[in-house]
Amino acid sequence: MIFLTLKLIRKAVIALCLVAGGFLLADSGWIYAKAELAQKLIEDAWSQTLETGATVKPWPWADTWPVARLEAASHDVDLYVLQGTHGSSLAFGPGYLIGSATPGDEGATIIAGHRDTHFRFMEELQQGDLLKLTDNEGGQHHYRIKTLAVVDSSQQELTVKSDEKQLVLVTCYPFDAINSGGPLRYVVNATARAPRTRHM
Amino acid sequence: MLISRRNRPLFTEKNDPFAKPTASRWPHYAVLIVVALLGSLLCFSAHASVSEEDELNAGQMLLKPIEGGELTSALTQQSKVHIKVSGMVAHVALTQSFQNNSEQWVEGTYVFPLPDKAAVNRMRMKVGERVIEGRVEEKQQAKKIYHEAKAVGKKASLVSQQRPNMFTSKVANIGPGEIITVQLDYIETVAYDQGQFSLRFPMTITPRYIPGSPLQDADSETGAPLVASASGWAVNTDQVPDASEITPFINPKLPTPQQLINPITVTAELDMSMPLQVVESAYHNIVLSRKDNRYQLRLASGQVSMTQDFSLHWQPQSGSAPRAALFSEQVDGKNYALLLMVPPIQNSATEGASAVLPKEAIYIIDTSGSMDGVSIEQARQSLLFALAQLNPQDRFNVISFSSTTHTLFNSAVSASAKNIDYARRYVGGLQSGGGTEMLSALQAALRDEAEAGFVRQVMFITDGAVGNEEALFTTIHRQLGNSRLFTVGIGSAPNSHFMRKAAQFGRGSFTHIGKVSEVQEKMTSLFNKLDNPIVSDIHVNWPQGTKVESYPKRLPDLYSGEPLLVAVKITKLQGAVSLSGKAADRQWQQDIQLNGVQNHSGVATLWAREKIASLLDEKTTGRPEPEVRQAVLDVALTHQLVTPYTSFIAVEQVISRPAEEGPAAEAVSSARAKGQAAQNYVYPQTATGAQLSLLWGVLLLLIAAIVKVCSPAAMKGEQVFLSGGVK
Repeated sequence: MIFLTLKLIRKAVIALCLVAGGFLLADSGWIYAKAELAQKLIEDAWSQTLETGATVKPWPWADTWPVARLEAASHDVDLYVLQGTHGSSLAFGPGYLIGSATPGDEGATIIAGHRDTHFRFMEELQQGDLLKLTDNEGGQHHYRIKTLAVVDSSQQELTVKSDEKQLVLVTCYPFDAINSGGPLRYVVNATARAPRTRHM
Repeated sequence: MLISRRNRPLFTEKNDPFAKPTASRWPHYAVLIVVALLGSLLCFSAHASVSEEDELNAGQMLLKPIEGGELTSALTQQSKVHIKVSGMVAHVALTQSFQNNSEQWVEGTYVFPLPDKAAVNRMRMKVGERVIEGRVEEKQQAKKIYHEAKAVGKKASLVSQQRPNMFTSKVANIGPGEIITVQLDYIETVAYDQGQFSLRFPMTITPRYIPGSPLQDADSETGAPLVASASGWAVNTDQVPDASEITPFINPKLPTPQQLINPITVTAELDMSMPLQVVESAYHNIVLSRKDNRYQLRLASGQVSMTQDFSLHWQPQSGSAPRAALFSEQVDGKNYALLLMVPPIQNSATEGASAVLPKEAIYIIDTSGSMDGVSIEQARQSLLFALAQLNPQDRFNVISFSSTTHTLFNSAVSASAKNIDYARRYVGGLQSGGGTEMLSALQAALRDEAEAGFVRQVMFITDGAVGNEEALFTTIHRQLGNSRLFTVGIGSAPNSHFMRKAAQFGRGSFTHIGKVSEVQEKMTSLFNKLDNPIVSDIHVNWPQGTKVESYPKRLPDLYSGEPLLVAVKITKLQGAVSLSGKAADRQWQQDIQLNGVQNHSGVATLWAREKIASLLDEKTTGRPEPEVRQAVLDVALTHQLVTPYTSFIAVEQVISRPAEEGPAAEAVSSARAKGQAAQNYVYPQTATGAQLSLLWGVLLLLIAAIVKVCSPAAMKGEQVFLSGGVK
């Protein structure tokens, strides 16, 4: 009797582990794939935005659209920034925090991204690194990284001095934490380097 | 449990707990270890997910995506305010014009401040030449009417109250290129203190700190709209369930003279029926003209950005400052009156000094992020001034707070030169940043009782930028003991509602400081109040045979220079009202004739507003909300006033928007308070669950593999051991 029961349990355990494990692997794979693939789809929407000046959704049911392009040449980073920092835009690209300065404008523009997908590269950023932001009219803006800091979001709100033109990148910290949803954030401040140039 | 039970027979059977397991058995152990690991991981992660959820929500930025939102503002707003002061009553007309600069239909939302004692009693919506008169409805009913009108394509506007000093205008179906204007009329009493009249028109909202944990409807996975209004940057929390409605976005741009943000024109007319000595605006340049005893003024620059409160004060020529005044109005056969009286007490310094007891002064200073910029400097200077006023026989302590509370001394210490010097250096080094966890600071200040023979005074220096005012008032009310709480409002756009009510429940008084150069004057005036005897035990005896309903219900104690202000509904205005009280052990009494008072428009409305304020205070002191609500509704609907339970609604009957073009939601952002250095945002949630899923996936597959591989040999062993155990 005992032997039989154990055998059944064993089979059940194997089946359960296989199904659950497979599902979880697929889930994580889907998150990574989505993050990668979406950027390709957004490319089209972005070039249309630059041409027409209108907001273009990358796919019809999207609730976000590209608003800027972020480049860090020294880290081989080229990303389309999406409107909003809600879950359904950060899944596809870094998000522009609504309410902060419009990309390329005076004041602080805040862009947030997932630490384990698009903003993984933030780990390697260093003081003095250059960042380039292209606004939705094609204007290019250059920033140089001034400060890098870890903050506790449960203790304070994201506070930025908005008197000068700057770019603030935000992601979760630590980069290799297994659980998502921890209170720590990694905040990189970069100040504008040169007056804005335009090419249409 | 399972594991320990299996382990025990294993050892007892062999009678040698230290015997090494044979090689053939190791997969069996591996299974056990993995199961144990899995079990503990499950326990751990179940535990972690509870706290994790709180943390996750604490730092989320969740917004309703604005459909097709442009990066340039589709909707702009400009205001016009005209203030007409007559006696103690100010009639104010505020006009807000919403212009749709886009090519689609929009719905505009604008969260704006009003004076905390404003009685909003009229609203009109203007569309071109057409004027639609608004009416007061119960709040939910008004909202329903508005949403129905919006859905069918009618122009509509809704004005509701979020806080006594914070309101929201919503305007539905503004066509492309169109302008819709909302005009609000309100009445308020002019402030009168130490012989000076004043009035404050707030311009913008300093971003409020929102304490508490987000409510359950916060959904990060889908990014779905979790707030109905989506006009705010904060998420509703257990402590501030309406956070999203009181946190309008702040315009990230700084205004310039060429490009104003939320431009406003201000004009005013003062008719005090007496010549004035001084008419001054504290923060704006004005142009003043005079015709007899009527004074007219306007902004020197015509229009300004709404970045700093407009503060006006005026003073009658010396000798003509009123000691008592009475205004009345008859509405629907009922008499209403407003009675003002300055107690006839000499405030000579020598007389005061003899009566002053040594004090235990507790200074609380707000060093949160919203204080960053000019505010923290004003706060520091105010506190340093206060420290300099201490006498050697006094005791004191300093409490600073942002996300956490820090108390300088464990308990109050004597105001020795050494201690004061230590405190001065501490205050000089205070920096701003972090949250505004006010409750713990207040509790720390109100925890202790003063030693016998000491008067306990708590001075609270803050911008009041918090969303959980009512909880704080309740704490003050319950824990005040024999302390008195004085608020010092700091910055270009402080939360005046908080300042006034905290001082009221704290049985103290409040003052505003809007720039560093005001510190000296305002703090001197505050200390003048603290050091002079209080007028207490005030009684008002109305003439015999009259029925009266007067507010405030419980008359406050008065500080030096403060007048008594009573609003009354009375059966007949005849005979004399007799007022009495006590100051520095001296009784005083004064009679005021009620006959022959001139009719003064607005008095009935002000009475209703006072009654509502008094009812709402009862909520803080413990009366059940449904009762308060019903009582407020009765007054508000009769007198057509906006309250927490009633809103103004205006609907045009014509359908103007084509059915196929739904209106896009646009929020007007507030202008940043002048001199405020920093802006606050909520941290977005910036990690996916991919890594965790990956790890679990691999682990589970591994377990499946191990169970599969180790089975035959291990299972045989298992059976032997188990049967052995059973024997």
